[in-house]
Amino acid sequence: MWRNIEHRWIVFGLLILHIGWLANHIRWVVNDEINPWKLGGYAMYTVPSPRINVRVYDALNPEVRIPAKMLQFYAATRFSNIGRTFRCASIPAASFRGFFNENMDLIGRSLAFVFFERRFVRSPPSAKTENTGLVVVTWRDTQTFSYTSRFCGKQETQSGTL
Amino acid sequence: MLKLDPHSRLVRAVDFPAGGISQEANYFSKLSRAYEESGLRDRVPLAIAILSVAFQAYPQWIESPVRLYFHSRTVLDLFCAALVISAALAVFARTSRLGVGLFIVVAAIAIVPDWTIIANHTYLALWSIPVAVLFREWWKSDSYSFYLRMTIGIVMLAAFAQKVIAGTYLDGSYIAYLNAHGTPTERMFSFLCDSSAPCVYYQAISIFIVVWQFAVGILLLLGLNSLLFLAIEIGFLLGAGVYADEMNFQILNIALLCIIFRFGMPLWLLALSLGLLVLDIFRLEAIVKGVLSYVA
Repeated sequence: MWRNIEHRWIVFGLLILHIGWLANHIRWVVNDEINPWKLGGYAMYTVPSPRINVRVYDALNPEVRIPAKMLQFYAATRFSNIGRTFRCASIPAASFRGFFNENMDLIGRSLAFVFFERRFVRSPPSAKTENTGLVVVTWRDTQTFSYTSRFCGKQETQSGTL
Repeated sequence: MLKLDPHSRLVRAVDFPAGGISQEANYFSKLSRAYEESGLRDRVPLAIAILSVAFQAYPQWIESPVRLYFHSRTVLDLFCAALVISAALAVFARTSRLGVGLFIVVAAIAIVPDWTIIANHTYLALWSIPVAVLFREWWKSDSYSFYLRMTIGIVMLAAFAQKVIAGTYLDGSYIAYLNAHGTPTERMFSFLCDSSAPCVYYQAISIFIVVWQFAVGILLLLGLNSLLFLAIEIGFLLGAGVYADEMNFQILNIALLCIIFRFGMPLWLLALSLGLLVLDIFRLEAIVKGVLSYVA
């Protein structure tokens, strides 16, 4: 008997937790803070999938796109924000450490990481790729870099060491 | 001679005269009876729900460079095998709880770490499947079917709220977008409107989808237990699956509904579910394109 009562509390607790999660997800979507297709809020098929992407450019010569390996850049955020689901979150220094570990020839070079995603346009119904964020990486010495991020109207400067 | 079994949830024809077709029918009838009497019919839906996770996750795992950075292909194969084993264990009364336990272990190691990118389908599976471990015989538990009923009801209302808040359904703009830029199955209604702008038909389809999700959510929360409702909802889910070229999510929903309604999963629905899970790997889009190119 006591076990059934205990189970009942767990069941109600999980249902309340789920409702809270969904309500918070709606808040995130309304504030444009997340990719609506992710995080179990069932907002997929309300807009086209954003297909968030990042390209690397030479910060001193923005016309020049740099072909770079991105695997470790993404892998560094596997447990926190892989795929930039939280679209306004800053990039951790670990991502850049992973990036330069994989692209050692780019150490010491000023770089611009430009973030893109598809946004829904209602008239005519279509998807337009937009620039949604920028990170500029500069070097203090051969080991230390600083980077200025701009996401969702917020600017932040951080630093990291290889 | 037609014999009705009052203890069966389905009317079955048995005792056919000897003959090729009737022997096969007799064999199927015996198989169906054994399937029901052993209780497999009641437990198979959870196994299908677990399998839908494997079918959804594994193709993504082996194509993801990030996944292959953290785990070798062999380890990913083992995760998938463990999911299949947990589904098999979930089918039998003695091992069903163990199967759910194995699912929880695999989910904790292989699925939860990717919580920011996993599919909504997987989220629903994580909210629903592991809770079965709380109950000694989950397939007989009113609490578990109540929990699943509330969970699906809440999810339907959340999907409804997201569509209304996005505003892209009430004006028909998202369906218009799909008809102009979607996959071949998503363009199935494009004959209704002349231009890519939302017309009254796109708006009507969009509003129907939204109203349907709201109605299903409310009816589930109110405890409606009609098999007719279950049949219509299964039909709607399959239709939506064909439209979006995404069968995994629909099969998971169907499996959970079979538990909610304490209907179990009849053999024909089991065969259909397995067939659609396999078909989903190849995508309907590729099959439609193949057929069209063959016809052309």
